[in-house]
Amino acid sequence: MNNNKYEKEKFEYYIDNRERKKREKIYVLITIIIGIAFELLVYAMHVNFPSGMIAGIPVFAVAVWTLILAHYILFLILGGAWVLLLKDDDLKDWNK
Amino acid sequence: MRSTTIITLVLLYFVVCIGLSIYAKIKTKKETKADFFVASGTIGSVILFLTALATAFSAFAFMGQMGMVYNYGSSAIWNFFHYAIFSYPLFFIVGSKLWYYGTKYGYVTPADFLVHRYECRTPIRLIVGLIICVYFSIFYIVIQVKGCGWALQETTGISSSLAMFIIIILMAIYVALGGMRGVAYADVMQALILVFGVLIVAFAMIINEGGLTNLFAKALEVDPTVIQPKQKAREIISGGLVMALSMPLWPMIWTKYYSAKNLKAAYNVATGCGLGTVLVTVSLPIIIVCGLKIAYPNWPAGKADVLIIRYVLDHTSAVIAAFVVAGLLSAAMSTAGALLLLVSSVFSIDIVEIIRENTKLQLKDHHFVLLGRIFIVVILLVSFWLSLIPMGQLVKIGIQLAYPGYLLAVPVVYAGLWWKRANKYGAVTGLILGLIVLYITMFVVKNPFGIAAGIWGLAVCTIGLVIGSMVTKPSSDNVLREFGLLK
Repeated sequence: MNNNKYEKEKFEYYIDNRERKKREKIYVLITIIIGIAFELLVYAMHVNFPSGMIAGIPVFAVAVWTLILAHYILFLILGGAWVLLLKDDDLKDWNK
Repeated sequence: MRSTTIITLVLLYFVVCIGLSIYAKIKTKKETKADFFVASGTIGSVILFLTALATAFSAFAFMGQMGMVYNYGSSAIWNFFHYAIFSYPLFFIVGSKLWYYGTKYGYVTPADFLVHRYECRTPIRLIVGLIICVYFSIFYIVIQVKGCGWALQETTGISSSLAMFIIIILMAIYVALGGMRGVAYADVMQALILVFGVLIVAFAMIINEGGLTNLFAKALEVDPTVIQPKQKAREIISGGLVMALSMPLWPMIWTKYYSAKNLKAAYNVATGCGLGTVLVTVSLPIIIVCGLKIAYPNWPAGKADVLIIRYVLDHTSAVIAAFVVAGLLSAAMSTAGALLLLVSSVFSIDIVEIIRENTKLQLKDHHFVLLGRIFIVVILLVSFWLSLIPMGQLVKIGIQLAYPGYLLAVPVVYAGLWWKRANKYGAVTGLILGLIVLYITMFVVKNPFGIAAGIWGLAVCTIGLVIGSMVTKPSSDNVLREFGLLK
């Protein structure tokens, strides 16, 4: 397949794409919000470690595992596919 | 018997690595420089997912991060958690753009993109190629080789220098033979061994202590502060940000975008690195540190990074020990392989381009591939020599500046993609000032106000880039149109 004939379409789809730019902004904004919340959590844990609440390691471990797995699945796998318009990408002529 | 089992399994691992590289060589139809260094942008999603995972996680992730959790408790966990929170937008948004331009314009080295966007050849190739990609990276190859040498010495009883020499020979064969494709195929196996290696250690600890709850309870009995944070918040936050923001633009990850077959494959660079973050650096260390505390409650802090290998040698069967040692070798060799290819591409392309501009030297594609292979052998021999001598000041500077140094690429790449006023004067000014401030805040006035040196370097690089660009003329309209910055 001659991909050169698609150069203009590819540029408009991957770079000069209004929907993609909008999603990128939303993704970055959500990252900043999650990031600030995360740093506040880190700060709170360091200033006053809740030894009473986290009586044993399991509470801490389960909390960390839940947070990081949920974030990985929702924000990286699903969110990443959304921000990159991956569903539409498969349908493009140059990918067939 | 135990030693024989370990040696046999490790040898089997070496044979498979070389076999995969030979397979990659056979699959290569025509050897061009783009094919040798970035597989001509043909690597698919699954392979890229695994090669990214293997490349991002080095011997440091396997041993050093476990040691950090042993020493610093949950401080280290929060530090590594930053990867997950802050890396993803850079991976997706910047990575997808670098993939697109890399495919369109045939980039091979990280400097190729910056040279094109900023219309600046020699200064960018020297700073980004020679300083950031080569100087900061070559000592990481040395560290990986030393890590492998130490692991082989501990498990097989052969001398450390002989072990390192064996590793050097193996790497020279499999990287020089297969290029990026060979490294990627070997990484598939190495990523699986790496992840299963860490998982096996965690499961062995759970079984040895009679279940997860018992493991946690016994660790708390031995050390009630096992998960309490032991570093200041500002150190964790600024240090975590340096690693997380730089990761998607580590040069050995950057070239993965160029090698992606399509956008989905480029997306999997992020999901691969992300899975490594979730498993290897955050989730499993919580279990592993408990097992290590129970087995070695008073281990010296400075030697904590060897604990994971010590544990498997002392507390698991020969087969499991061999698998975990293979996991360490995988972590080290996959990172070293990617770095080796990167450094070789910088010498073969960035440096040769500078020479070509100033002479009438004419080179064809196969000459670049030949040069690449020669440089791989030379770099490995230099790495072997460096690994035998005591680490001097220059080496320490290279190692400590590496990840903060990679961070300096962030404002330059961001501005190049989204800010049309950004130009070569700003980029070069920002990079030079950033490197100077990085050196000062790392070695002269260490981490001012408790904030990591990388953050100061990043701030000054950004300011230098903005001011330098604002007071000089912008890039040409033609280039700005090529990057979608001008209609």
